[in-house]
Formats: sequence, structure tokens, C-alpha cells
Amino acid sequence: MSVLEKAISDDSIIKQVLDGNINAFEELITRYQGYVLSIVAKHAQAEKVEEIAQEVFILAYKSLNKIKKAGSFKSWLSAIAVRSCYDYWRKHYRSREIPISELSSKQKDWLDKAISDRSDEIWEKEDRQKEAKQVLDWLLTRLNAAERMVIELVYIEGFSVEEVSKLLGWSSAKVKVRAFRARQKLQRLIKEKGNKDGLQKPQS
Amino acid sequence: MGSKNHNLNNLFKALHAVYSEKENVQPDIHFKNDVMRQIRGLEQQSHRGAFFQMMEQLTWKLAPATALMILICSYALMNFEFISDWQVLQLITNGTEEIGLFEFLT
Repeated sequence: MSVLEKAISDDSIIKQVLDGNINAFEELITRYQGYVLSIVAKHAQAEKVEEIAQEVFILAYKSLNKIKKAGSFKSWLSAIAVRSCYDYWRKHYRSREIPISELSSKQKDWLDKAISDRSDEIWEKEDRQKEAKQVLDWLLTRLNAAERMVIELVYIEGFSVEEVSKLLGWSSAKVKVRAFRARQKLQRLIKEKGNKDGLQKPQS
Repeated sequence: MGSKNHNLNNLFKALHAVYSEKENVQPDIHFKNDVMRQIRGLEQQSHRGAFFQMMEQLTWKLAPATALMILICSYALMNFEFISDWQVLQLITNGTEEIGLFEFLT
């Protein structure tokens, strides 16, 4: 980004766009495409990332006049990105077929180690990461869209309840309840899986 | 319970590492152009649709007045008796004889 480009604030670009200069929006895309893509990539399937990210910018363009606070474009855009991912999962889950794939023995082994206190061992081999990704997908596809987003944002990404409530546009109480239920469901899933496949029981 | 949470936290910690890797996505070179093309398309559509949108808004604004007019006309139609020119002519000529189209025209 050049010095001149940096000097132009997001707000003045937004003003230009609202005054009818559509091409000025291109600069906002240049500035934030990496940021939006990184958010969407964390919450959506790899093959859908670009499509959702494009929708995020189009939604942002359509609602530019709704930005209330000056200087808040980036956080406003991140909320649109997270909500677009949530909408994607809601639509996807409505039409999805129930996943029948089961964990392989390697993946079960990874999950066993991950829930035990020996979690340091799980990164010993590089190929373990592949199993971790598959286990992550296996777990998340068994949650609904809201539970998935809450688990990802609160427990995996480490956002606070307040931040998540702003990102998803929910009340703090709703985030807390959803997070609690999602965590319980995840725990139940792992326990059921453990009982079924003879995974090591969590040490008490 | 504390142990269970601890175990689940271990899992989240491990999954966090997988998750962090996901964010390394480079935008496609066509990404920006694709978005701008769609936005320009939206603008053209909105110009084209502006007339129809205005008409639609006008239709809804005029809907109460139209409904009122329909009610008044219906009331008028039910309460006023309409007599055709033909019947007027029959009345003038005492209405005793049949008048054909030829007589009427001449």
C-alpha cells in the first residue's frame, strides 16, 4: 500500500462510494480482501471460501450507508464475514445428508491422545496434523450451525463472549447458553465415540 | 468435571493449531475484479429497476384511493338506473311500436 493510499481513510473512501463513485470501493477490497478471506477460511469449507468472501464484499457494498460509527469499517466487515459463514452453514446443514463416515483408527488414536493429558505427543509426527483436521471436521459436522460457530469462535479461536455477541449479533446470554450447550454436546459426542470404539476414558 | 473440562481444553488447544493454519489463504488475482464486476452489475440492474420500483411504490401509495374509487363506483352502479339511447328513443315515440335498427339510424 502506498503512502498516498494509506493517507486516505476508510471513511473518506466510503463517502466517495456513497456519493456515487463505485470504483472507489475497489480500494476497500484491496485493503481487506486478505483479512476477509482469512476469516472465511477459518469458518467455511475450503472450496467455498472465495464465493463467500465475494458475497461478504457485495453485502458490505449494499449496506455501506448503514455504518454508524466512523472508523469501524474493519470490525463491521468482520461481523459481516462471520455472519455470512453462519448463514452458509445454516443453509448447508438444512440440505446436507447425515454424515456416515466414521473415524479411522489413526483419527481415533489422535482423538484419544488429544483428550488425554498426553496432548503434547500429538504433534510429534507431521502426518498427525492431517488426522487432526479430519477429526475437527468430523466433530464439527455433528454440530448444528450455531453450535459450530460458537465452538469455533469461543473455544478454538478464543474470542470473549462480548466479542462473539458483537460478531454474530446475538445477546451475551444467548452466546453463553449456546456455548455451554455446544460444549456439552461435544463432550457427549466424544464420550459416545469413546464408549463405542474403546477410546481411553478421560482421566479423573 | 474439572478433569473432563481439562481434557476438552486439551482437544481445543490441539484443534486451535489446526485452525490457525487455515487462515493462510492468498486472494486469487481475479478476486477483486470478480467482486467489482458483480457490484457494477448490481448498479446497472438498480438503474434499470428504478422505474419499475418507482411504479411499484406508486401503485401501493395509490392503492387506498383506488380501492375507495372501486367502492364508490360499485355503489353508484347498484343505485342508479341506466337507460340506453335505444330505450330513450322508444319512450319518445310512445314505445308502442317496435323500432328496428334501420329506423333508429335514419
